[in-house]
Amino acid sequence: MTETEAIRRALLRADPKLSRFDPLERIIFADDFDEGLNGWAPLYADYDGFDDTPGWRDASGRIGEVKPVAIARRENPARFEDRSQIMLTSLSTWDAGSIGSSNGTYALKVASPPKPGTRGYALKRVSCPWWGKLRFEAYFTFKADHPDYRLGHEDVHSLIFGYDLQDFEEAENPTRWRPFFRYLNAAPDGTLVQRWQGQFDTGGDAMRGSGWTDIEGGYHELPYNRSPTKYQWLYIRYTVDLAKHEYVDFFCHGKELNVKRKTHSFPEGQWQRHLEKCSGLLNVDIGIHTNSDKRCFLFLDSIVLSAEGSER
Amino acid sequence: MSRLRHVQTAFVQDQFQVRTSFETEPYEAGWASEAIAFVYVRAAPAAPVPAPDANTGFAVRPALWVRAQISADGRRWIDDERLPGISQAGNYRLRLTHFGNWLRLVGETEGLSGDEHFVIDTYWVFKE
Repeated sequence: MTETEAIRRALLRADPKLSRFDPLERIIFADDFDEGLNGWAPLYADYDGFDDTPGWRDASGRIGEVKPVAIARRENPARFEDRSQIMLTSLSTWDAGSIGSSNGTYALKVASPPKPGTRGYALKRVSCPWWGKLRFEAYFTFKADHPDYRLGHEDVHSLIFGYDLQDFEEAENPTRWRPFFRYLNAAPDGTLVQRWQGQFDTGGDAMRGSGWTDIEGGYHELPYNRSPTKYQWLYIRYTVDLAKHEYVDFFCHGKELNVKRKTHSFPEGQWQRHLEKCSGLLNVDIGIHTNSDKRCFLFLDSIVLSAEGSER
Repeated sequence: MSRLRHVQTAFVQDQFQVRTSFETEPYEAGWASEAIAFVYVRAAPAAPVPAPDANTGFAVRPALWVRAQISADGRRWIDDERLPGISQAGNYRLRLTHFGNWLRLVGETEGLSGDEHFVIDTYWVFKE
């Protein structure tokens, strides 16, 4: 270890807020939701004619103009139903009052609508001058709403953690890829599955539930607690290599899974046209899907995104 | 060091069609000391030709009644401020303070028939 690296590590470990993270050399953001939303946004449409308004785009796939929102909605109203908001929660419950977050008062709450098969997402779109490894770390917990005062463990379908990544347009053969992880908590019929999966296939749509492959050794009983209002904060970390388009590592709550050198790519022509106007986009996506008519909640106390590699 | 106050806008309902009633997603806004509900009524049923109500003698126009509700536990709700009855398209606002943490909007219609409905967009705008 170089002297510079030793000093950097000592400084990180002495910092009460960063000591519990293991960031790479450059911290792109260190978001503590006691300080606000920090640039996280809900999932909403592009209105550009792909998945949200089929048939709008001409065969060339080039962006001519973004469709006026009102027209897009009129043509495909189902695409815009089931909205849910992201919000800052103090984890306030009927039996304990406000609990607060792991490290402060507020956490980011990502909620699914109260309808089976729906989803809630938070996304943050950044870019980065260091084009090598990219690491996501967070402290999170999850619950189903409990209007019936039941535990609701089986109501949570899945937790989603991923990146939607686009090369710099000037790169050789620039493309888009989506390294994603899913914790499949329970099947739609309520059977607990509790398994980590990844997007290693081509052509899947992580945020709509297709293209998932079990990760070897990925069975994992993430703590949910025996009470619907008791929260246990969990750590997650995963890393990908932006230059090589490869997964590097994955760790969550004591379990390291081997994803090294696994890749993700889309079939030629599919999705890649999205590169246009999004050169070098690093889109960080986290979400929760529900099995039932109860809202399911993913809570984030804090998130650190870091990178290392050469500048580009 | 001085710091600017937090402000946050939430887009809650998007071209939502109200036929009988609605309740918005419970929103936690404990960090904010003031909130405004913006209710943009994009479309309202056409007013019928006035026909006197048998009991009151007044004509019943289609109306949308919107009010805010607050809650300590996110499940038992108490009425707070309300808007006057809305019977035509237009932009309306409800200003709130001292609402605690949990907030939602509820709405009910009256005097609608058949497929008649209101179309609304609602936003919360919160400030620290």
